[in-house]
Amino acid sequence: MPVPLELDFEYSKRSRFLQNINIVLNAEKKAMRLREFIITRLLMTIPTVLLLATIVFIVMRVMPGDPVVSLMGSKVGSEEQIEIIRHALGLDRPLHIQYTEYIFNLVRGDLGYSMVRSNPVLEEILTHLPATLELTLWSMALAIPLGVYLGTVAAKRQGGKIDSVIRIGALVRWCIPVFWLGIMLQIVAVLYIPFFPLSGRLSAQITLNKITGLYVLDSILTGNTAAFIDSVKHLLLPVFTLGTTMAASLARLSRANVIEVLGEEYIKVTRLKGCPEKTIIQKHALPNALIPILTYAGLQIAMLMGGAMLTETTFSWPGLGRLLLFAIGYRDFTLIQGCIVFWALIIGLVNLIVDILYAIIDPRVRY
Amino acid sequence: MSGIVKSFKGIVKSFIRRFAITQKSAKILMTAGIILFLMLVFFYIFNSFFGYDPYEITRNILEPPDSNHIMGTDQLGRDIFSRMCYGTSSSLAIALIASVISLIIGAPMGAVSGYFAGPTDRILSVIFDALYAFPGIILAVLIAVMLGPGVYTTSIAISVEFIPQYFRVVRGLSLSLKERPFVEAIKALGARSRNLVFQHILVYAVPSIVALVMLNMGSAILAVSGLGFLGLGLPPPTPEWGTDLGRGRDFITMGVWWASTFPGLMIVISVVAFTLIGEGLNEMLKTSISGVKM
Repeated sequence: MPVPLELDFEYSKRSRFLQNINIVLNAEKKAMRLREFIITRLLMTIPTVLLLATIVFIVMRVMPGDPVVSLMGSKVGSEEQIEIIRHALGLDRPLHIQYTEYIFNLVRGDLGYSMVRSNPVLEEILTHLPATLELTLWSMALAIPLGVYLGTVAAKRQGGKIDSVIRIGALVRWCIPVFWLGIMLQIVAVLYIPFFPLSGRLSAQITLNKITGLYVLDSILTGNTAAFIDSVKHLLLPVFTLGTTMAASLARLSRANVIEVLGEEYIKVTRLKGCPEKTIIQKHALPNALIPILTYAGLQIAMLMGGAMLTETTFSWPGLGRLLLFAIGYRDFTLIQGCIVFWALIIGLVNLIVDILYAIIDPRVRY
Repeated sequence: MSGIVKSFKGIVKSFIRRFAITQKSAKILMTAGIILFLMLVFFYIFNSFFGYDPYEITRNILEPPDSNHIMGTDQLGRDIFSRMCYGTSSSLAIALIASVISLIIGAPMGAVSGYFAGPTDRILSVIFDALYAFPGIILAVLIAVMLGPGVYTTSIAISVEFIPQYFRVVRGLSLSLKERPFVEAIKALGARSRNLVFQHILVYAVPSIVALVMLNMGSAILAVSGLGFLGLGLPPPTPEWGTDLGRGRDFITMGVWWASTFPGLMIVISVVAFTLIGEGLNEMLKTSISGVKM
């Protein structure tokens, strides 16, 4: 005989009311704690950024090569001229004074002027940022669904043929360096499919009003069909190159996570209740398996932007990675420092967002 | 000292025992990896006896692969196959040195940090977490430029990328190991903390570290070739996969595919070899001595 669940209707109503009040109170408490948590985390990024800034400052000063020499180029300057430039760049002052000034300016948000290009560093970074951002975002848009889907399929058929194919495919793809895959795609494009452009973000003959700097978005905003097609064509090869790298590691991770979650008790209970396998995976297993994947994806954004350095070089993509390589090549101290600090800030920010999402998604997380 | 030797003997024995009872898939992975690695070694030895000189400049520039030069020739008329075989030694040497450097620095720090906890642990964790979150290739490029080209300098540049990984893994192990009864027993017997950390905890972590070294060897080879591709690896005449790949890239618009295809292929084969061995070891470690999967 089935036992009626609500024996005392009045009582259960009251208790539900109390429960609701508790939920509201808890949510308020949680919001308070969340605010504290965010503030603490923001404060935590400060030592990280300062640490990296200091490391970079020391590395710059120890590094062989001199921005003055690269500024002079092939011109041979007298000792006096070199001294004048050195003085103008502030390189003739004692190191500790340079360092204090650098940190002081950094705290005020002043990254200084590029030594070689003589533009503000922040301006240089902001003109190159959209290219990297566009590449990274589209790669993520390809990688996350693809990686999670493949990982889930493999986990569902654990030990089967499809599982082996996906596992080995992901492993081999992970082992292929991005620059080699990029070059192989370029070779195929050169020899067989002239449809794909080899490098750059936009063909020379196409004009586009830049609003955000993300070319695909800009062309949609301005209703420029030719520019839209061209920018998408330019994006295809780099995004495939970078996106599949991340998809490979995501597939491996999601496979492991889904398998782990599928072995848990509550999944067994759901299965015993007669829930179809599809619903079990989509509604019960995947949400829990996605939590660690989220953290990993956050870390990967940072790695992608760094790894984009190689992809950007392969496809002559005018992004942050190439800017940093340029700066290193010319020993442009301020620009290098600016890039690294900017990168550290982005990473700090991304990690913070991931942590907050983590806390919101997973009620078990305490902060 | 003899205590450490004894413990290592025990580790080797347990390795062999584990390998015997481990699942088939782990065995297949490891065997495949070892075969690929032996293939690279075989070609290296074979080529040093019978192959062309990798430095010899000839007039046959950019010849496509044929029976004479099975991988073609590069822009200076050098035999690519021979350069690839010689490149094995430099790439693997750099990757190995880098792994050893990061292991020597990262693992003991991790063990100490995990065991003693407290403020030391917190400071080290903050430093290494900052390094871990930062894209390793950027730090490697900076340090490679700072130190200049060369085998040892490139190794040091790359090792920076992996120190935080060893630190994290060994710290985690050390944190969980210090709660185990055997550590408490040793402590009760009056062992000094230093001996406890270095002779017992660190030794106990060796199998996991070996698996990590193998996996990191693959990443290190990728990093070496990445630096070479950016022109920051070994100085030009030395055969190195990444550098040769970067040079060959200039000629793809002329339809010269072989100068960049084969260096990349060598990188992929070697990285796959080490990754397979590492994966196999990792899977093997999940199986405990009694054969129960943990």
